[in-house]
Amino acid sequence: MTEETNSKNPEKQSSVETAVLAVAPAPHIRDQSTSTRRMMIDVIIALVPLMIASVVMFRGYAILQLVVCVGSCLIAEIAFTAMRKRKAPIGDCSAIITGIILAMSLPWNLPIYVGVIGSFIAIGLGKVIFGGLGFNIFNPAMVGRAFIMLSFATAMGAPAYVKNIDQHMPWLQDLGALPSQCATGPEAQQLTTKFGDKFNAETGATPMTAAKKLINKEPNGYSTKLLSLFLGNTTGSLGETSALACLLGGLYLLIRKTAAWQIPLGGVIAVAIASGIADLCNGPMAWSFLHELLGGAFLFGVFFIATDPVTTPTTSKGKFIFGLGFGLMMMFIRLFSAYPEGVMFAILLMNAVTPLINRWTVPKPFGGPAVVGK
Amino acid sequence: MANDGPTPLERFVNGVIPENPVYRQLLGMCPVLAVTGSMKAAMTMAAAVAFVLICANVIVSLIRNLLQPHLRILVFTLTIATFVTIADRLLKAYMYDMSKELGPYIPLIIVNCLIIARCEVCASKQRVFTALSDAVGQSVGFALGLASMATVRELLSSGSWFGVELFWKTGTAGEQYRWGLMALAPGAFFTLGILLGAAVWIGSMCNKNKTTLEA
Amino acid sequence: MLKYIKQGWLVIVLAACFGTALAGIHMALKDKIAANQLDAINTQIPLLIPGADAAKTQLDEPLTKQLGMEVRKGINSEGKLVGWVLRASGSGYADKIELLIGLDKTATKIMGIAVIEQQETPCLGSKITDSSWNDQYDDQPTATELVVLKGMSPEQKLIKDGKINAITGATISSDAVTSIVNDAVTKAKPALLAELKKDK
Repeated sequence: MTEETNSKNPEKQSSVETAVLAVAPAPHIRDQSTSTRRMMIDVIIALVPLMIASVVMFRGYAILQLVVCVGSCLIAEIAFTAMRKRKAPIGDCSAIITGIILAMSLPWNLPIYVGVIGSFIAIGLGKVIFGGLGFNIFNPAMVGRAFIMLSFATAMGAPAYVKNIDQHMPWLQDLGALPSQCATGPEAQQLTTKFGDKFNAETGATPMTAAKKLINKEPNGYSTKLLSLFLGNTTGSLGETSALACLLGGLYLLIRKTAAWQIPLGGVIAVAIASGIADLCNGPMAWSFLHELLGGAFLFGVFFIATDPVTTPTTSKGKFIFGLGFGLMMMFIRLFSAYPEGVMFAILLMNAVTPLINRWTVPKPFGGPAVVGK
Repeated sequence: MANDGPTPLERFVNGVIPENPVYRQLLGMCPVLAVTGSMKAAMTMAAAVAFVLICANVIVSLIRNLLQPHLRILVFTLTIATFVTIADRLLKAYMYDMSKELGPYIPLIIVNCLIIARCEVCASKQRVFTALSDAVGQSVGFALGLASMATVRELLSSGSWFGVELFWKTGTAGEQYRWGLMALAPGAFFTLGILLGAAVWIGSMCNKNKTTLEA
Repeated sequence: MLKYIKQGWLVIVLAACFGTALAGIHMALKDKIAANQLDAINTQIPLLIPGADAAKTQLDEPLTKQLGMEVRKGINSEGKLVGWVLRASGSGYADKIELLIGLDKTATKIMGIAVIEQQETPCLGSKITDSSWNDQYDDQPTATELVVLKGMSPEQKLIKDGKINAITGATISSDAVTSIVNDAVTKAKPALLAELKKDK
């Protein structure tokens, strides 16, 4: 609510100052550190390490995807708010963040128009249709990504991530990102002798698909080195590869209190429990709890997408429950569904139950009556 | 009343664009959503609906003076069901593959509200020639509606039109450009929503121009 | 009574007229429709069993009754038995899937399958009708049940060792077709072999 009053009523504020005795609705204390704009700029700063990591890894492809998504998110924001005959809230930077997060969650070789469609859906169906920032139920970037994921199964599916990758990115070998270079465990040797330095459909697309094959005991599954997952010289969506960059950005958000610490904590605990149980059931495997944490888009999701203040619960207890639920849903999808990665759907599902969590965790006023919601 | 109403020619023209069944009256949405995945299916459906609509309108108009008010819906349904069954049999006999593809949607023309609406609004009150021109106009309008939907969906989902592959060949690398969702139900709803919005917008623009001209 | 007839005579007359018309149409078209349905199967038979003559490949009544599914003897132009065609169905992802399964003479190999009825998701599950996918069933052995795997390489697909590559995004449809084939073959194989012995 703070953001709302702040950004909407600059005239009112000035009238408050001139009036002798003015009665204004709460909040009465306005701190620049809690404005939407400041929070969003914080998020953009926190996203910088991710962008750097993805540009190092994917070079021109990352830059192209960023430009396309951010650009079309801004155009979509202007176009859709114009349709509602409102002034476009470009200044709050939220469209830029939606664009960056969407771009960072896409494969490197996605056709440009797919990114454009995703951005328009993200802003239009994900945000403006509900009444703009603050009223949306689902995280806009994830709405856009889910739409293009279901629309363009071939372009967004796991095989697309490695299609012709070694022809387009000869620098992968220098970075040590080839499957034969970053695989570990008994399967790695087999892989190297079988396929050499080549990427192909059988070597598995990303660390996540390879791990999925390993868990399902299918041929050519392997586990990826923890160091590769940590530094990010593996394949995957543009922004998800480097756990280090996600941690740097995430810590910055936590220190600035832009993101609530309860959500990442809940997420990590849930992943630990779920992968612990999975380990017990499957027997010891090269793909462990740490791999689940560092691999795929978990850190990216838990720091940057699951902490979106609009679509997550408002109470601290609720935030912790949200984080727990997110982690469990994601592990559930990773382990049992046909998808190798479950961050997107886990976040959308948890967004849907956010109002319910809010109801559960209404704080009881001190000494007051029982809460109505319970 | 009959003299003040639109002439047969006006009724024909009205059915095509100004009172288009799909975009202005929102009638017969079931086939509009269900069979517009490909142009061939949509046009077969449009032809079947045209056949039933024209026959039903003519028959109802012929017996309009004998109708009992409280039994008229029964008579309409009876007439429509007969012609739908005939259309279904004809398709099964001469276009077997297409009838299999359309599946239950041909028998479902019986409950297509466009036809019963035209019987009620026009045919049961007008002379045969008026009813006929109305039915033809509405059929053309319905076919246009289906064709616009099917064109968008078929081009986006399989890159073809009337089954002719325009953008890429099946099984080649070009397949990655296909917008698979467009062939499914959500794609139908999106397309209908966007086209409907465009139709209303264009309609309001035309009205604005008209009023400014008159003023 | 008279009141009702007075009010409802139009409905009665119309119903009688329409009924007669429909009966006429049905009489005129019924043979054509039946021929169409048969044709849909007959055009598949030479494709499923090379050398079989569709005109001579007739429904085998006793076996059909015994197994509860349509069985056809594939007869070539010289009147010799060259294979079997089973018609089997089962539930798919959306609705019933109906298949024709061609087996060789001794029922040791699948000669091919053809999908004659399906309502699977367009562009995903409906790929079961593509010959590029269902050609995988050609020459598969019937000794063991077929299994569905994901992400097989082109070289693996060429080896006929009872493994079927799932359609990407339509694992359930692929599984359904495979289990229909498995069930039908397991069920029919002993009866077909017995019939073969009898013929000799």
